[in-house]
Formats: sequence, structure tokens, C-alpha cells
Amino acid sequence: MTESISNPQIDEIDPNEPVLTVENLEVEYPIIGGLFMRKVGTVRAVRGVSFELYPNETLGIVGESGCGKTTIAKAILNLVKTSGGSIRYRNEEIQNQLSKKRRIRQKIQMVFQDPDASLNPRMKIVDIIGEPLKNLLGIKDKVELRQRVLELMTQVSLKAEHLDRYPHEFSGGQKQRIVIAKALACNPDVIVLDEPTSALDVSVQAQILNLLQELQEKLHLAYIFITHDLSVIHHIGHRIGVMYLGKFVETGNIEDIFYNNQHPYTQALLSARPAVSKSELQEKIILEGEIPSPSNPPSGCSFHPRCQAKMLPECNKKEPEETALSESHHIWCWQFGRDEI
Amino acid sequence: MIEVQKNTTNSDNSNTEEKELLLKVKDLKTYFYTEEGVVKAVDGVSFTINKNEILGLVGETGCGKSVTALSLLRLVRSPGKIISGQIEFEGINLIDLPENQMLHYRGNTITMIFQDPMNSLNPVMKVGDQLAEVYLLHQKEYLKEELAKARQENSILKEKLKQMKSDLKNASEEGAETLKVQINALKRKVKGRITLKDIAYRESSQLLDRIGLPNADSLINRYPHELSGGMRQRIMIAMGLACNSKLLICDEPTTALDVTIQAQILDMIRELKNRLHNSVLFITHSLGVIFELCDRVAVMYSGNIVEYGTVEDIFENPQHPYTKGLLAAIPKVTPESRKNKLAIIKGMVPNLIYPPSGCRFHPRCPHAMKVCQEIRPDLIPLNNAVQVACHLYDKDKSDPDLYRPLTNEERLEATI
Repeated sequence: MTESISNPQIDEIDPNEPVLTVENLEVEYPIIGGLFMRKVGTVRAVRGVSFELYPNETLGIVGESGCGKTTIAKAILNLVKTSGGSIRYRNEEIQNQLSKKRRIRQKIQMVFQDPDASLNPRMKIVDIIGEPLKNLLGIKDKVELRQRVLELMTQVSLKAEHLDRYPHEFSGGQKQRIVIAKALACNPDVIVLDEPTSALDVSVQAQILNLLQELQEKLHLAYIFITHDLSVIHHIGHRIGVMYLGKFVETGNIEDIFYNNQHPYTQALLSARPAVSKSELQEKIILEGEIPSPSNPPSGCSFHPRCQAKMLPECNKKEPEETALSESHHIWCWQFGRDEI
Repeated sequence: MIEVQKNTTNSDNSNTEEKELLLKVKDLKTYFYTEEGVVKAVDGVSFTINKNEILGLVGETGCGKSVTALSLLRLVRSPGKIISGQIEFEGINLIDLPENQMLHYRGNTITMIFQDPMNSLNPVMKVGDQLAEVYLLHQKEYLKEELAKARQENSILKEKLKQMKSDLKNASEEGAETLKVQINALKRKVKGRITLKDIAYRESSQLLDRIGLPNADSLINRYPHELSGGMRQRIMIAMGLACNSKLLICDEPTTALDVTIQAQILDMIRELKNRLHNSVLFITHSLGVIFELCDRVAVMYSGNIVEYGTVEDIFENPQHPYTKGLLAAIPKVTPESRKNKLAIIKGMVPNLIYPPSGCRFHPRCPHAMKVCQEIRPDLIPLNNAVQVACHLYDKDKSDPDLYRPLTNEERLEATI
């Protein structure tokens, strides 16, 4: 079980080599129904998503609820079965490979939205954070285990006196720190953060965001940061993918998405964000209706029923293709892809 | 009373107009008597709401926002109790009212919309039934009037139908054909017996239509689980509006929703306020929502209001260290903001069983002085738009022993 500790790749981080490559990822969920509980249909939760993740980088995935953000995270961690595409960790195919699960999950860790649901209320903090050390790294010695847990806890600014407490004795922000410490236990390369600050107050959110940035600088972590809060991703992110109904509609770095956005959905999403000062106040684009059901997506571009740009004949017939506006900035919209057909 | 300067985002009245007072809360105290001790959830809160105005109540989790709202309707459950204070609604103190009179206020004049629509809607009742129930409970007089009108119209139609049928007997062959078509069309319109419930249903579907829900007729026959979060929240708001109440209390109505849906809901609340001229008390933890929606804002910390005034003044120029900290902690979307670390407020929200002495914010405050540890600051007017509860703005700071910064040891003591 200890073979994984001596992973030769830990120390040599090449910033130009992606730690994680996702290509044309497809995830389908069956709809079970009818008298005999048979499969009666499929929900295509993720429809052909591709991205690369580099060390020291935060990739933000934003979109409304139900657009498939969390499904991507689950697919990367092998928590759901994918139906197409490939997921590679350092050029090694990991998709649907359950035999590699144990080793891969040390390197790719996840932090969930609700810290209460991630912490066993009957376990002490030392046991919670020590669990991956014991099970995955095979540390059996109690004293060593406590020592390692304490090191992890200091990294997230928790104190030694917290070791033997139970989760209910902590505030929301502290609980999220415990979850982060647990994720750090196996020296991961990638941490998937699924709405890590959505359940927290702003002042605590600021503490957690600062902590995440510090940890990234120190440990050269790569984050996949899933959120619906655009100001958070503006602060912590490097590259962003805006998702709508299982697909990216626009990807790019911070400058592209926030100051040079082109897709009508990105523009609406950005304008809907409540401002806190006059300088940020802008004309609201209020989208009509709600995100359609992924079990029955609209024909053509899935955004076209809510889109406020001028409708083109292709919009409701064919799915838009990827168009590169610049090296970093990609868009899936017929308003831009038309000329090349 | 504070002179109100209208927020630019939602102003439709002139500045000079004198505002009419709707609700006045004075020194409200609501405590919870738990086994571990007395939780002072709301400890001396005072504010006013004018007619046709949106007041925001903002603060972190556990600062007493929701308890304040529940206290206004006297819905605080045991072990909670309203200890003292005044809640004057149009001159009548709600605290002293007997329970049967209080019932009249709940729903009829003051309505509350709760955060989680899934917990507030009955999962085994159709949406239409639930909305009709509100009408039948609170708007019976209005329904009766409408019923009389509808019955009268129906009897006119019945007469007409009778007339046409007798015409049919005498009509020629050609005329009979067209008359038959007309009769069939009329038959569909004429109803048998109209009941009060029919009217309640009709009103419900019209209301859903008014707040911008499509296919209102089919919606009222659905169950809550068939609807999306945004639609459920809108149904909740519709229920709140069914009574034409003068004060609408919204307790985090958009917290569980996506930003695009949140923008729709906020837009709707703003538009409804302008149309119906009612007042809104909007409770949220999101400063952004306050800035977009409200006219005035009260910032709460640990059971007290620490700053209170017009949204414009408080967001442009916050005075209290807590408000300053909160505003600085929000990630800004400007090209420069990314380079800096986020400002944080050190420490945590205090335990309300053993709140800190003096100013409750002083253990976390960067400007804490000796006086903050000893005397609780009152809400004092700073100018005609803003009130603040902080010793930094005391007029008489002559006592050098009181107005000195805390030493490190004293600070440490305060945090424990």
C-alpha cells in the first residue's frame, strides 16, 4: 500500500505540463421509470467538455445550478461512470479505471460545499484528518499520526487544542478548514473545490479564499473551483469556463471573461451579479425563463430560447462549434462561428 | 426620524416629500431561555420603516436578523420570548395586543416570506389550493363581492342562452345553423353554480399571471415539487401579495437561488413595490442585494444595530469598523482588485450567551479602545442620513484613560 508514497512525480513539477487533461467528457444519467423500473431515457449532464489544468493554476467553472458543474467534478474523481471522452492525470488515463482509484484519489482530492455533511459527527478531528493518512498512506503509529495531523492543522491555521474535539464544536468557517486539511493529507496535486464558500458568511469566505491562495502558492496546487459566485472566481481564478446545460459556452482567462466577454449568456450572468458600489453598477440583462431540463435540451444551441442576441437561422438547428477569438479565449456561439462555415 | 434621501436605483418620488411612518420598532429585546443560559438574540434594536420604502436588514449568520423579523409578527417560539420594547404599527403597539387581534395583523397587514420555499409550501397540496386558501382566509369580503358580480354576469348569460334557444325554434333553416354555433359557444361560457372557491382559484391564477409566471392556469394544478426553485419562490411571494399587505417581510428570499433567477426576483419585488406602494423589510446576508434593492439599510452585529442609514451613504462611506470590514471582505470585480489579498475581519461571531462586555464588536475591532470594553455605545446620529453605534464617533473624548487603544494583553483577554 505504501508504493504510492514514492511517486517520482511529486517533486518535479513542470509548470508547462498539464496535471489533468479532460477531453470531450460525456456523462449520462439514466432516467429510471415505468412499471418495471427500466431505463426510460437519459439525462446528458455533461456533453463534450474539454479542458487542461496546469500546476499552480485555478480553473473556475461557473454556471447556474443544474448545468453539470458538479458532475464534472464527480467524473474526475471517478464517483460517476462516464460515457465518453477521456480524463488523463499526467498522461495516464484514469477514466472508469477502478483499479487505479486508490492511487488517483490521493492525488486528486475534493472539498464539498457543505462542511457539515463532509464531517462525521461522531469522529474526533484527529481521526477525521488522520483517516486518509491511515488508510491511503498506511501510517499506523498513533504518535506519528497525531504529529502529521497537527502539521496539517497548522497549515490551515487550526490549533493543537482542536485535535480532540468533535465537529459540532466548530463554526462553519473552521469546519471548512478541517475539510481542507483533510484534502491536503495525501499531498495532492489537484483539489476540486465544489462551492467551498457558498455556505459561509462574507467575512469567513474572505478568510477561506485567502487560505486557499496561500496554500496554492506554497504547495503548487492546481484547483478546479466550482462556483456560481462570479466575484469569488474573479478574485481567486486564473482561467474560467462558463457552463450552460452541460457544455462550455465561453472559456478564457480573467481578462477575457470579465472585461472582454462576448457570449450573451456570460454577459447576462455577469450583469446579474449584485454590485456593492456605484462603479460596479451596470445595466441589468434580465434573462427570461429558467435553465431548461437537461433530459430534453432545446435543439441547436441550448441557450437560444433565452438568448437576447439577434437570432440567426442556425441557432435552433445546429449546435454551435468552438471558435477561437484569441489564443486563450474560446466561444461556442453562432454569432462568431458563422463566417467559417 | 431620519430624513430619507432616495436611492438612485429605485427612486420615483421627489426628495422633498415627507415620508409617512409605517412601523416603529423601539428597543426590542428577544431572549431565548435555553438550558445553557440566556441567548440574547436581539438586544435593543430600534428602527423605523416608512411607507413605500424598502429597508434592508443585513448581517452575518446568527446576528439576530430573522429573530427580529419573527418578533415583529410575534411568532417567536418558546423558549424564545420578547422581553421588552415597542413595535408600533401605524400607531398601535403590537406587543400589547391580545392574541386574537394579533391574528388579524398576521397575513392581512404584515406578511412574511421565508427563505426556503420547499419548507414553507405544503408538499401534498396543489399550488392553486394553497393560494386559494390564503384568499379564503384573509380576503373573504373581497371574494364575496367578486362572487356576487360573477353570479350576476352568469345569470345574464343564462338569460341570453334561454332567449337564443327559444329563437332557434322559430328560426329558418339557414339561421338555425349559425344560431346553433352561437349557442354552443355560449354554453361553454355559462357555468352551473359558482362558488367562493371558484373565485379564489380565479384570483390565484390572475395573481400568478401578474407576477410574471407563464401558464398560470396550468400552474395552479401542480404540486410544489414539480416546480423549480425560482418558481416556488415566486409562488411564495404571490402568497405574500395575495393579501395586499402594507408590510412585506422577506427573510432571505433569494439566498437559495441562482444569480440570474435572483435578478428576476429582485426586479419583481422592486416593480411590485412601485405599483402597490407597500413597504418591504428585506433581510439578507448579501450586501450586494441590499445595494441593488433597498432605500435604507440597518447593519446588525450580534443582536444590535451598529449602523443605520441610507444605502448610498453607508456603501459609499461606511463609518462603523464592522461595516467597513464587511464591505472590504467582498471580492470586487475590478482589474486592480485581484492583486491584493482580501481584507478579513479577525475572529468569529461571539457566543450570544456570553456576549463581550461593552461594544460587542470590540474583540474583533482594529480600533478597540478601553471605553469599548466598558460602555456599550448607543446608536447616535452622525449626520441627517446615518446613525452609528461606535465610540470612535463620541463627541467628548476628553478622558485619556478611557479613549486609549487597548494593550495587547487586554486584547488577548477580550478574545478569550
